[in-house]
Amino acid sequence: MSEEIKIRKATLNDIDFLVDTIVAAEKSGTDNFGLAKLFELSEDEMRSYIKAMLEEEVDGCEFSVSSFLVAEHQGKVVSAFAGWVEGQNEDELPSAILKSNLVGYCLPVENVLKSQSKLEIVKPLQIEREEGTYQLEYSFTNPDYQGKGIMGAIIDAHIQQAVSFSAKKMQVHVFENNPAAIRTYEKKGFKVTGKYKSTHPLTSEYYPFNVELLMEQ
Amino acid sequence: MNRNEIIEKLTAIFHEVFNDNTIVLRDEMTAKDVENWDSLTHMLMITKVEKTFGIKFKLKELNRLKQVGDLISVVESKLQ
Repeated sequence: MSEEIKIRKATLNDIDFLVDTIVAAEKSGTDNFGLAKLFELSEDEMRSYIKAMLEEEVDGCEFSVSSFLVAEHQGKVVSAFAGWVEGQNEDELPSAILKSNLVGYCLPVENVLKSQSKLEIVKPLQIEREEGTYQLEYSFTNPDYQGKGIMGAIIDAHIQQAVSFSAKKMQVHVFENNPAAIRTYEKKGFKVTGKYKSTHPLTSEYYPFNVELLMEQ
Repeated sequence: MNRNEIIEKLTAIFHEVFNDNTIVLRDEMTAKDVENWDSLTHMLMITKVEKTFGIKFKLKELNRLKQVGDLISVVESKLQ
């Protein structure tokens, strides 16, 4: 299988798969689409805004088409994973601010304002990204292609990019209830270096789990 | 609306969003100077600025805001 897999940078033509990737990664195996809930939007509405954000082609965050590498099998995109060097975008802004600007720009004002009452719920699991590090975020593989080493191949390609960009180190956030992902990162040399826990009673409505790990290599 | 009036309205937004009534806006102030200024509150602050002043920022304008002085200037230019 690995010989038949081609890893390449994502393009605007891949946007629909990237939207699927972001939604699946946000849900992380649950039915919980916290991003939609935070802004009181339906899943379909939030999908259309994620697409709009990707179409803005802002580089340097997890809503950037240019951050994504995709895996193709026989011409079909089957997996995607985003990665970028933190803070080294055109405007030298933290990716979290680029993301916030995109969300604020693309979503209706009233929906953005609805998030205010929920800040205390989501804040404990917002992990700050370190400038100059290579960040990995939002991975997804079509279920028919899981367990075939495709995600490992994309991570290898990101590791090569991180080396070529002379990134300080690589960082990824993973929920503690996702042992498969944790094992995949461990195989690629990542180690758990931080643990973030939310004790807010409503956490489970907005996140797949209440404990998030920081892994680095 | 003159610059002082803009600063007055912005100050009220900062006090409410960042939950600190002692914030005094300075041109060179950045997110690092304000305790609760993170990505989420940043998004809310920008949205409240747009709503309060009846303006809409371009994405490029948002991504070029480095400090509070930039925000004051871009609001001022949009109200002219």
